[in-house]
Amino acid sequence: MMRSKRALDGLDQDIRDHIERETQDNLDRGMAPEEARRQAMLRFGNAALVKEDTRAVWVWRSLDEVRQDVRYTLRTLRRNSGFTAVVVLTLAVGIGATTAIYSVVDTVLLQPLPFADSDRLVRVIENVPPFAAGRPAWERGMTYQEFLEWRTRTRTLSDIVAIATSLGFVRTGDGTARLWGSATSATAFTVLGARAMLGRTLVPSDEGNPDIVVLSFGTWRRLFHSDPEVVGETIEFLSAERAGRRLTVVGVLPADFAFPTGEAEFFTPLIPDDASKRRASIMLMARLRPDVTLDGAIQEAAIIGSAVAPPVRADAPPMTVPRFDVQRLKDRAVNELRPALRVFLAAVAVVLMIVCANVANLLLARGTARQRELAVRFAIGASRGRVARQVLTECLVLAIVGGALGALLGAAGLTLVKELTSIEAPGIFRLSLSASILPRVNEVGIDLKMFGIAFTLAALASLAFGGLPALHLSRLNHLQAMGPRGGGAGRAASRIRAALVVGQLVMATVLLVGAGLLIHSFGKLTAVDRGYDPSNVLAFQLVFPPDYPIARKTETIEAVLARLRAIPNVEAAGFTRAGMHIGEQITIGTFVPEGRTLEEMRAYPAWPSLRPVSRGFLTAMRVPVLDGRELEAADFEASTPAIVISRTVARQFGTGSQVGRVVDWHVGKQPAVQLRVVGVVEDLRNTSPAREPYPEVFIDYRQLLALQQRWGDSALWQNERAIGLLSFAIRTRSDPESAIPAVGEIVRSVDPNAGIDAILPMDRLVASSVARPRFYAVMLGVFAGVAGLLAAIGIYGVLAYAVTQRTQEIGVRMALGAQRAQILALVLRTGVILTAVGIALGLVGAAVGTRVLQGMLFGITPLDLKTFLTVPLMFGLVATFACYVPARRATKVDPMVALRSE
Amino acid sequence: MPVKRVDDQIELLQGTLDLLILRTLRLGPAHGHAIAKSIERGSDDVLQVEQGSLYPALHRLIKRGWITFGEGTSENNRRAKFYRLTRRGRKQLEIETSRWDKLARAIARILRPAAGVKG
Repeated sequence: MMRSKRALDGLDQDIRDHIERETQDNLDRGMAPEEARRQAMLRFGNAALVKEDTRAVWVWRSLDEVRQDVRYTLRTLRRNSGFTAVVVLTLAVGIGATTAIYSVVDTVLLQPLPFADSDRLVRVIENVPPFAAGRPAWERGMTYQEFLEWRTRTRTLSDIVAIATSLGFVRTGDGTARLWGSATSATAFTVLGARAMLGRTLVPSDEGNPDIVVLSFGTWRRLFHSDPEVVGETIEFLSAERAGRRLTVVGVLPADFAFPTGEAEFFTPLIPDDASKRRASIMLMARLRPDVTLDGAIQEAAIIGSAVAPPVRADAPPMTVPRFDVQRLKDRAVNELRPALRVFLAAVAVVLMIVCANVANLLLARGTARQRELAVRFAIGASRGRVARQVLTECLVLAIVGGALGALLGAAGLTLVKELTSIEAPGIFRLSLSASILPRVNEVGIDLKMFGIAFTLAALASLAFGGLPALHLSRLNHLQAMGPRGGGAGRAASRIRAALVVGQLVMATVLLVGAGLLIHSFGKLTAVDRGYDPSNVLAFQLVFPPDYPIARKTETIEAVLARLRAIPNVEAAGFTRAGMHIGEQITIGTFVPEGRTLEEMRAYPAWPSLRPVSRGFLTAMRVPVLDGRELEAADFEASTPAIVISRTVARQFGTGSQVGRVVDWHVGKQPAVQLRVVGVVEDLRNTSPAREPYPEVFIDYRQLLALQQRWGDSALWQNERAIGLLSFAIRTRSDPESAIPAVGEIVRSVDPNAGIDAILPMDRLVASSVARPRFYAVMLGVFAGVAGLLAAIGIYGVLAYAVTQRTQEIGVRMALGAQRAQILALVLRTGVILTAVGIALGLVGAAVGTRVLQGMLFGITPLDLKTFLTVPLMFGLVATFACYVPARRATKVDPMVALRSE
Repeated sequence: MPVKRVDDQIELLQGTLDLLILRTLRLGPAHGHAIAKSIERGSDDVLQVEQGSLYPALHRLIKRGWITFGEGTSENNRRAKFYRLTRRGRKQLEIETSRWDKLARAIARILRPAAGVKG
């Protein structure tokens, strides 16, 4: 490098001296001074070329020239800052979006779960017909006996593990906390090949050990404040059935550990004695034997299942899913998401194609426009290689800057995806809404491989189309290229560019229609009347120690409600057995209004479910009362228990007002209980607005308890039916969040043993319940928006370029008397034809392509007419505007200037 | 690579210019113009170097380490770059010369098989 600098130093001087010496020689030979100098220069040849060639000798040793090229490029690009910005941003968007989405799809769909031989991990599923036709089948757990049978009979599965959900109540500084855990075969962790962060996991010798527990990272942090010495400590697990169990902590799992069958806050060895007593709640996890296919295992499951499981009732509605199934654990997590993620991947690929087309288009236009500049450089002695290198440097600089920006954009996009997919769901809602609508999203990092691919594609597109005009030019006669029309490359390039633009419009239209459908569908979803008003409602859940007697629980509930109602900011407060968005329903017995028969009422496909509430719940939720009234304090005293029924139930009961009607409630073998309807309210959509509302009967939970006591139900059964998940709703006059401290204070002072499991404004729960369709709509909306914008830029570019090329022609036309309107029409026509062709073809594509969205739409079909009309209309307007801008510029052409420009 | 074809002057073969420069510099250091003149004169003006092409060739040789250069004062008392042969250049000249001789003999044998040419 130093040598090259020294050698090249003074090259100009050397050449000048050389020519001077030659001139002197010629003078000595007697030439006239002028002739002597001319001959000397002739003899020397093209000095500029010599310098260039001399420097070229050093090229591979020095970066001088590269640096020079880059400097020149940066200067040129700065001068054309608009062009540069558009190309760089286009590249960045394409590379960033592709990388981010592919990274997500790769982790969620393609990467194996982080466990040993995880692709062979499966679980056995038994589907049970729904209680009523039209509702989805549900999954039934196994009993421990059935599990043992499966384990003995199977020839296709190995490493068989039983997993059961278990509840743990522990005492914390903030009262009682409820933990959701798993009781598993002690071999579970060995089968998974999972390691502990502190201490150890469960090992096979722990089988049946009732005294140990392994904690999740979160539980360790919450209960032990991340104490590194926790191993060997004990926790007291409160229990309804017996005195507290003291469990010794043997280990803590790492932060990123997620049990493949569902999250759990602690793990204990499954105790067969307990397990055999428990109802069917065991899930069977296993590994396919090496020589067995999934289909083989499914076939075997059908045989073992029908021998082992109890038969389904004869009058059960048919199911759309097989009764026995074997599912890969990985598939289970992503089956629901797979179609959507595939759509995103396709969408992002389309965006990348549009990006490449756009970059190609812009560079092609620029290359053609630069022909003269390049031709001049050839003519003054630049070598072919040198010019080619210059053009390629420019493309490469654009690609690199775009790629770097794309990497940043990709990282930002990933953050956005994580943000959009993580939802607020504390406590119990973690189970019903799940923490994220994308499993394993936290494992996602930028996928460098995909970044490389996207970057390479974009760079190739820019090199190919940026380099083409230069290559073409280097074969041309320079004089011809320098000529007024810029050579013959223009017309061929124009055709390519028109094709590229139509292609972009087609792809963008398909995406826009798809996004339009999702957005329209999301709009319909959020417009659904949920039957209550979630704004200004604070929802929370209490946890009591499990050994509390029922009386103590009702006392506390009533005391808390009374104190809540006394908060000045609170309009109404109420209790309900299972809150909103938990999705748990109980159906107890049959309600037979007077004048109807038991058989008639049982014939309805959807039996009304029972929701034990306190008075004030329906008011706090602002459920519209259609007839009669809400439950009142006095109803509790009435000898005939009062009920409020939902609209659907009222319709089942009969026509006309149902208020005052007496209903016989048939529960099991008990004599029918008389109830009186005091009001009819709107149907409540308890979970997703996409689901049909359940018909519901509301009763005062204390009256239900009184009935249960009369029937002789156990305390456990009373708790489960009447008190359940202890949910509260309060309506505040201002921001519900501001009432959170007061609620905490009240609960503490009423009963320091009670704990708050989850507390948050209801509208956030509602938002969480539609987080998935919102995520779909936002994602596709962003892609389609970008695609539409790029396509508009594309058509703008084509027309702007055409106007520049035709300036002279336009000048002539205007000189000959063409009106501005005619010129406008002339330019617009080209653009509008391209737009119309692109959008029309795009609609055809959309009609075929949007079928993949079928499962993601609510309330509309994939061929929704409104969407298919509005989207192309709006996109057409945008594209026409993109055409209008250069067209208007054409009308500003000054004929005199245009004609003189030659 | 250097080109100039005027009647009975001939074009130089690829790499020949390098050889001629090395040969010229064996007589002692010289500046660019002197080298060009020496080549032309030494060949009775049959070989016409487009003088400019000398410079890329000189730099190529510097890069390969066969020649080096220094500042000096020319005959008319002007500062100029003087190029001189390095030891590696000297060795290279021998190799190139013998290779050239072989090539010339071989070509001559093909062109005039009867006459034969003595090395």
